[in-house]
Amino acid sequence: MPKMSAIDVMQWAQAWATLVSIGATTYTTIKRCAEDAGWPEDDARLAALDIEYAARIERAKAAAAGGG
Amino acid sequence: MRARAVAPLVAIVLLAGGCGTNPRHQLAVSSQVVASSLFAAQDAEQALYTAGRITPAQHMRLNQHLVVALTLGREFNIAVRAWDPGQPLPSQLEKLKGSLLAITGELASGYPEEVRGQLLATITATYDAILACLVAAAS
Repeated sequence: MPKMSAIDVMQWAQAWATLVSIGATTYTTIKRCAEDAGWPEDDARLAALDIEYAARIERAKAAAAGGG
Repeated sequence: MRARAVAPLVAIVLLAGGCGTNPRHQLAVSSQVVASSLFAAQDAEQALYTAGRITPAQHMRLNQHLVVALTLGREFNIAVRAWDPGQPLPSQLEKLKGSLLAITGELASGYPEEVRGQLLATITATYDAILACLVAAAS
């Protein structure tokens, strides 16, 4: 195996750093895209909201009828 | 060397351009913001009543309005769950705007200034959330 010069080592390290950077960027971007797409979290959040709405509507109805 | 430095930027641009923002996700977030604002209005009203800042009659009247607003908010939320991109915006938003105006009208007279201020702040936040949703849908 040929001996690597200091410049070769530096370029090799930079190449790997670039690859790691691209990998991290890709992972972050895909994760953000998945979050933007919102599946399946959106459906779960909207379903939870529906349950809270139902409880709050009942509470408001009781208050509107003079029940506190 | 410069090409290596530019590579991550190119990756970002390509990936970001490829995914965009999902309209249904935008609407789902809008529904959550509208709900949070409405819930805050209800909580503020209840806190003011518990603190003795509004009368039982005012409490009843405000809750009659809140029943309407919360029901419309819930119907909007249900419509969002079934909504697909390309469909018209759920019509409940326009009705919800009307119900908020009714609450604003209720607050116009007979309420202490600080009560009116607190409740109008939450109503305005809900109104803003609705307008943001309508603007996003129109653009």
